[in-house]
Amino acid sequence: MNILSIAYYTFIRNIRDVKAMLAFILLPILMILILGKALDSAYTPKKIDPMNVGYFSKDDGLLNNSLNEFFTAKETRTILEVKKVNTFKDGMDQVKSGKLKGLVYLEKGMSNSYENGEHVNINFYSKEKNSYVQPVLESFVRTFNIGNTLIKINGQQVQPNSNPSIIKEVKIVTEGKIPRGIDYYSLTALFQSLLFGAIFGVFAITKDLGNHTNLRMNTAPIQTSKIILGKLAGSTLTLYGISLFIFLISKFVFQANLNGSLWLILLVLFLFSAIAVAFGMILAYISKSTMTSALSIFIIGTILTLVAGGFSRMDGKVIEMLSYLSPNTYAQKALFTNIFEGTFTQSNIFGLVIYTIIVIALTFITGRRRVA
Amino acid sequence: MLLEVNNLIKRYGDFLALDHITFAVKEGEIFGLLGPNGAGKTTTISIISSLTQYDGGEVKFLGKEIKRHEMEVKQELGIVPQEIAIFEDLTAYENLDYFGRLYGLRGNLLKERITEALAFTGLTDRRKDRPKGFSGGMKRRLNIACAILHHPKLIIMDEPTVGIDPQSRNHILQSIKELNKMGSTIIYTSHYMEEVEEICTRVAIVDHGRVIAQGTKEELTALVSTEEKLVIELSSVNYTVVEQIKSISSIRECIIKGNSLEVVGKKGEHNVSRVINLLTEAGIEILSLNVEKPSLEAVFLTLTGRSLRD
Ligand SMILES: Nc1ncnc2c1ncn2[C@@H]1O[C@H](COP(=O)(O)OP(=O)(O)O)[C@@H](O)[C@H]1O
Ligand SMILES: [Mg+2]
Repeated sequence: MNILSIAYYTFIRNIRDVKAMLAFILLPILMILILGKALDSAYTPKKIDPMNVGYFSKDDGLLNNSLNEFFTAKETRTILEVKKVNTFKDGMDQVKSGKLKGLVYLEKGMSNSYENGEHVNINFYSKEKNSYVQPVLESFVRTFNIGNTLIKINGQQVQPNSNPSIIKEVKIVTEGKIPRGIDYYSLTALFQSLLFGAIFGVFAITKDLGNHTNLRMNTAPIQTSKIILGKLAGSTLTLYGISLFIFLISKFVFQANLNGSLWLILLVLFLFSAIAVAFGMILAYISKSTMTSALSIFIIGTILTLVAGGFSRMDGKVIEMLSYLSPNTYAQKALFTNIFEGTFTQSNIFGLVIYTIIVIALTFITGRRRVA
Repeated sequence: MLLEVNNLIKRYGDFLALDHITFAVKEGEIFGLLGPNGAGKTTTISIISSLTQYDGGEVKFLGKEIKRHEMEVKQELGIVPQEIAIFEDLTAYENLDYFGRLYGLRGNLLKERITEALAFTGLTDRRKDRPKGFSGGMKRRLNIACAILHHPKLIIMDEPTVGIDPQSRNHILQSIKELNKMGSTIIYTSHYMEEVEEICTRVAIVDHGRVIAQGTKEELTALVSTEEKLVIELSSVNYTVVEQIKSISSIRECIIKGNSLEVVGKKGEHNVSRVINLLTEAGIEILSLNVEKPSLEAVFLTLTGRSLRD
């Protein structure tokens, strides 16, 4: 397969470009550090009004006492306004009508079971999937469970008009569900740097113009479209590798919360790498110049990141409309909703796939034009 | 005929780069395309190798129109571009491996061909090195190696000796002859008349996008040479003899250059023996005598009024 040979050697030549490889690994790491740390406060919501939460306990032992203490502590009360309700049904009704944001419920004899070494659940009911009451409860559980994890939060979502017995299990994450600056920027900065990684698409074209090997490739018995595809694959592989590396650094070194579906993350990073490389190839085919392409990548890449809220979250109708021109928007939304809400938003994934197809089609159109 | 180029026309905007170029290459020959810079040699080759589109005429390889059999024809061509076309970031071996694969070579056959091409171009010892550190001559040789891996029927070399030392140049000229002996047909373009004279069996002289003459070297020189030039080295020169030589009707010119005489006259008038007679009668010793045959350079000069290297 000629395409595979071209992809293989394109990849090899990319990774031998030590300067470029280093630059494109260090750039995103630096950006994540700078944006993630410096803009942390700018990103995190500044003031949260305490949330109204109901509490109903059939338990009258240790757990009930500790939880009461925890709810009345000063730190907790800046976030939660806990109100005791008289019956479970009363509490659930108030959750459904929206008076309460959630209901914390302890079952009868829970403390006894706990003291006997059994696993117990603190039940939490809410209409919202991504309520931040849950992390607060988890921090209680953590301080309580010194070493053994007998208590679990049993987060449950209340369907607006359904019987309380029809409850939907909510995915519980161990860290907070509110994205912190580092969570947000480790993704936006990753996508921004991947856009800049379009330079690997440029190299795949302009390096062959520079050393005239394009002549040899074009006189070989192989269709132009196969050459384009091989180069696209080779450089996409390079950028994909870089993106996975950055992703691992973000997750394990910066400890960003990236605990979404691994398959989704792999897919989004792959599609995005392909978009970036194809974008670079288009610029190179049109301009035939590394410098012009690099400059265009820098300018266009910055704009696409900006409108997608990569530097700070932006509001407004115009920005929102513009944001749909940016592949970052689809990629970021697909991952954010998955990581922080536990859902797959098909429209974003679909958007990204369509985007990929369009950009690759343009690559073939610009690349197949014969030079007179 | 292996290759037929008929009335090929190529325009760059208003500029007519190829103006009805016509020539044919037979199987087994080394065909020279000789012409000054800008004559249209590279353009012609780009068209034959399907790199460039053309505006008129036709190119046939083994009787097949190349436009309609592009891949088939490309498989049988080995192109040595005028500009060195090798990957600086891949080793010599990897360069050959890459290009071999593009021509469909795989496995052991590919390995054999790479070994053969490396040996043929004298690069075996440097196969693991990247061309960055190669001399101009070595790069030129690798440039050739990349084109012969797949044993093409027709090897097209576009000025393969530009910018290298005489030793590498000889090596390359010798290997072209060898390739030809091994059965390859070769098109060799150059603006160096000496090279074309040395290795080519037939030549087309190109100028301003037109073939102004073609044939074997003998046919070409016969075409233009009605005169011959004698260069005679003497023990001494005296002016009476020079006047006597000048008075021979078939002699046009006699110039003294140091101890030598340069005599230009019509061919076939026994000028050599007449001049020798006059010199011996005057008692002048002849140290050496050389009859210069007209070169392709002279052919070009006569046909265009310009020198090849203008
Ligand atoms: N891409 C091009 N655009 C415009 N003019 C060109 C182009 N390529 C070649 N030419 C012109 O066509 C003529 C023939 O060029 P070329 O075939 O390279 O000559 P040679 O190889 O014999 O030196 C030259 O005058 C050159 O300037
Ligand atoms: Mg040329």
